[in-house]
Amino acid sequence: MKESELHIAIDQVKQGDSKAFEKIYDAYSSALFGVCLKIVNDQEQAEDVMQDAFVKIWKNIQSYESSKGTFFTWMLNIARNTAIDKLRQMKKRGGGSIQNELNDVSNMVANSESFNTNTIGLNELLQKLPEEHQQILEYLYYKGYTQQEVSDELDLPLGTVKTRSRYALRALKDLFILLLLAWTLKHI
Amino acid sequence: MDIKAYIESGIIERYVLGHVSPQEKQEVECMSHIYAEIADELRSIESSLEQIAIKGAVTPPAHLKASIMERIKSEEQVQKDSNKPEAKIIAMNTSTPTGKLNKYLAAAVVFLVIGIGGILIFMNQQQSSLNEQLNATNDRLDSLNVENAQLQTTLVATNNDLIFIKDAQTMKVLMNGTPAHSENLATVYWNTTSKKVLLEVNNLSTPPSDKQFQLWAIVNGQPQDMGVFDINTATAFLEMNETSDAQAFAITLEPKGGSASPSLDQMYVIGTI
Repeated sequence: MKESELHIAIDQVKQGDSKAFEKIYDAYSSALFGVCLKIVNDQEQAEDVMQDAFVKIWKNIQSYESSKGTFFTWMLNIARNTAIDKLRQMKKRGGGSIQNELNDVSNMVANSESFNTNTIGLNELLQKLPEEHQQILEYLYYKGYTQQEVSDELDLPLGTVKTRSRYALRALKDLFILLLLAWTLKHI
Repeated sequence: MDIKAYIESGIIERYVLGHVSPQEKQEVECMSHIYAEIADELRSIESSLEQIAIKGAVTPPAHLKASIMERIKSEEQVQKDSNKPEAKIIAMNTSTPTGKLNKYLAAAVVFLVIGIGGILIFMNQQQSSLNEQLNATNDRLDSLNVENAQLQTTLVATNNDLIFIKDAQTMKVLMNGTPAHSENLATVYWNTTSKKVLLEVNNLSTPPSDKQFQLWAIVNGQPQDMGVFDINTATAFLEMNETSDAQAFAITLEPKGGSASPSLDQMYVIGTI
């Protein structure tokens, strides 16, 4: 979806146009679904999260302001927060040990045979980062832990967690540049 | 405002992760409006997270779209000013006893401060870029001065050489290559009054690293050491030992440091007067 088309669609959705909302769904649902799956690690729960997230996007569209960031980031935040809430509910209900759930990469691959192979792509992508950065992103971004919670969970000083989270997000940036380069090289 | 320190503090990362208080959230949003550097930092982190999400996209099942579209039919959109923190702040402002004029005044002051801040940052950047340019120019000037002094020295030396060669008492002795080294050629300039000897290497084979060329004057049938030399292309003339008398000059190849008497089978060039 082109930038200009997106702006038109957002304006139309703000007027209550559900056809325009469908266009937005078509353009972004797979990216958001990938993130939801990564967070809750369960196909059915991820579908639930998607429903809730898109309803929130629809309901709160009036509060989106382009001056605060892109529409994609805004939606991504809604989807991520909804998924993290779901994950916390699931944990409370299941009462399972966090440690088990967090051994995710292998778990995820094992559980995801019915998923699109792209899910493995997201995990593989993160695996390209140094292990400590992977772990930090896993907890802070995909599991919604606070820095204090990560520090308690991993038995690391809070300062270390802070430094690592800075570098992990920065490493993501570099990783993306690397991927872009690799892609460019492949397509020359 | 130290923007770098602000970025280094990690608050932008916490903002992206959603780990900030409402005050901090507003602060980051406000700062990113004022400082392009902060906005860039924020955007680049957000955009890498967007890109990662795109890379890890998974197509959801087709029935999901239908049920979402069904659900929004019964959902009203929340109107902007009903449940927003921004709205609350506006309400607080209007409830204060200050008049409307003061509000505009306050807004004007805020814009003025932001504007002045912006100008100061801009000027600061201009200043440091000018300083950099000035330093670069000074460095260039210094190196030009050094170059100039070197050229002056070379010019004086060359001029002296020229005066010496043009002197009526200076003799030019051409030394041609011996049959084994016929392509070799060197020239001696010898002043019979001052006894000074200059050597010009026109074409001599490169000696092996353990050998050196040595100049000889033949005085009354006896070789006289005039000094060893290396072939140096930087100077046109080499100043050799002085001699008051000579019937011929010759160059031989000798072990490094020179020999007491010439190795005649190693003679490269010779010229008689």
